[in-house]
Amino acid sequence: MPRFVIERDLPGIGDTTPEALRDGARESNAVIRELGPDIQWVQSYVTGDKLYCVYIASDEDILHEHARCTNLPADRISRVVAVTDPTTAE
Amino acid sequence: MPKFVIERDLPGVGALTPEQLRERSRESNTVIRELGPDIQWLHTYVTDDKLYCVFLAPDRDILLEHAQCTDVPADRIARVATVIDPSTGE
Repeated sequence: MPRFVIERDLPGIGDTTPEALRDGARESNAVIRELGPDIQWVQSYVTGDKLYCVYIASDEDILHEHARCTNLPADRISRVVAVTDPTTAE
Repeated sequence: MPKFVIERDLPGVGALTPEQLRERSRESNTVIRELGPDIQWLHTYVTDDKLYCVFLAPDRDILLEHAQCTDVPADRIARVATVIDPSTGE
């Protein structure tokens, strides 16, 4: 299954308390469990006004469904064709 | 040191060959070495038309300098408040 990066525009999201982030993660996990094995949440970078979320999923549709069920925006969904790091140079 | 996500709009970047990605990684590593120990490239998600790059750095300025030296855009630089994943829900 491919990896995807989702951009979610959420002004002020970086000020979310740890408790609220925990609740949000719980909700997300519950929806992912319901959606089945074709979607896996890897991690999310929480910045001041935006989330960058990394998923492994069968396709964009299931990511849109997850966004709908969790009431989160999915402003841009991009399939990851490669992951590079300093070792890529070798 | 804080973590940052950098968005780089590069139409067609996803079509680069592994050799081209390797070459770009080498260039990036060279510049990072010159800029000193305060900047560390962690990894980059390569999508069709955009790069999402994750760095450790003391501030935006050094990231802008790296972008200038490697001739890549830095369309958005966002400081990461925290990284969450499914275990955040526990």
